[in-house]
Amino acid sequence: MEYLAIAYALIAVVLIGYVVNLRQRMAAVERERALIEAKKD
Amino acid sequence: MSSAGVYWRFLEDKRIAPLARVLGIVAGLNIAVGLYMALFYAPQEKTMGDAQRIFYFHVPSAWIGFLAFFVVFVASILFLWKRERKWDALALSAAEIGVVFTTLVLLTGPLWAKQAWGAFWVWDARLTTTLILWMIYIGYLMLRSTAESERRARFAAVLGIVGALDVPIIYFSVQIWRTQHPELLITESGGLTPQMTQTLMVCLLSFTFLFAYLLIQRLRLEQARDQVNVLREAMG
Repeated sequence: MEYLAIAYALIAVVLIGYVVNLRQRMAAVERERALIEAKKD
Repeated sequence: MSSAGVYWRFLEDKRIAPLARVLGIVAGLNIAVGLYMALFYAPQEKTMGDAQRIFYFHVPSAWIGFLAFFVVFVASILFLWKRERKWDALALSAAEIGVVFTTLVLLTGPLWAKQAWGAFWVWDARLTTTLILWMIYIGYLMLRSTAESERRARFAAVLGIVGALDVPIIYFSVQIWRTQHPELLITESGGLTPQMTQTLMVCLLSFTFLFAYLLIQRLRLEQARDQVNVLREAMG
């Protein structure tokens, strides 16, 4: 049972971690875009 | 309009963000159902006990890894042929997701193996070729993290194509060589019971939805980066 729990926990950590990482990278790009556009204006 | 143009413009569409969110929610709900089925619906396997339930997410992870690297293979060929940035972006996005899911295979497999074989790792043909696949695409991502250039994109495309050739080797390894890794049997005579098969199918479907969601989001990120680069260049 403990191997099952460890396996499922690892799957959750990796997948949630990747989704959060994707969102953070997207937010960083959006911030950069807003900064450049503000400078342009 | 070419199919490539359609896919790139589809990502620019303002409606794609809520659509991707819906896809993510569907994937999440599907995973929850799959998790319930894996834990409570599928019967306990006699020899391995509860550790066998790792299988319901281990196999879909491998399936998505293979699917992602097949996308890398096709997109890399198209990039070398057409030299269009969108194919390069598709290959890079799929490679990153493929590495995530192959990492899951390499994390969950040993936990299941410890219960089934008494050892976390054996240098078995399928395990070794899967590790090689993972290392090739880690190399691919390292190559992509260096300075942007057309030449680097071409090198990466070649590596993406060569790496994907390992996928059929992994798949057929259990038939070509004597291995400890089980061959997946979905038959009445051996392997999985109907409840086990149904659970596996739900988990496969849920990870396929998740792959589609992640691929759209990762491609949107790549497109947003390109747009920022264009803006930056315009600013001087």
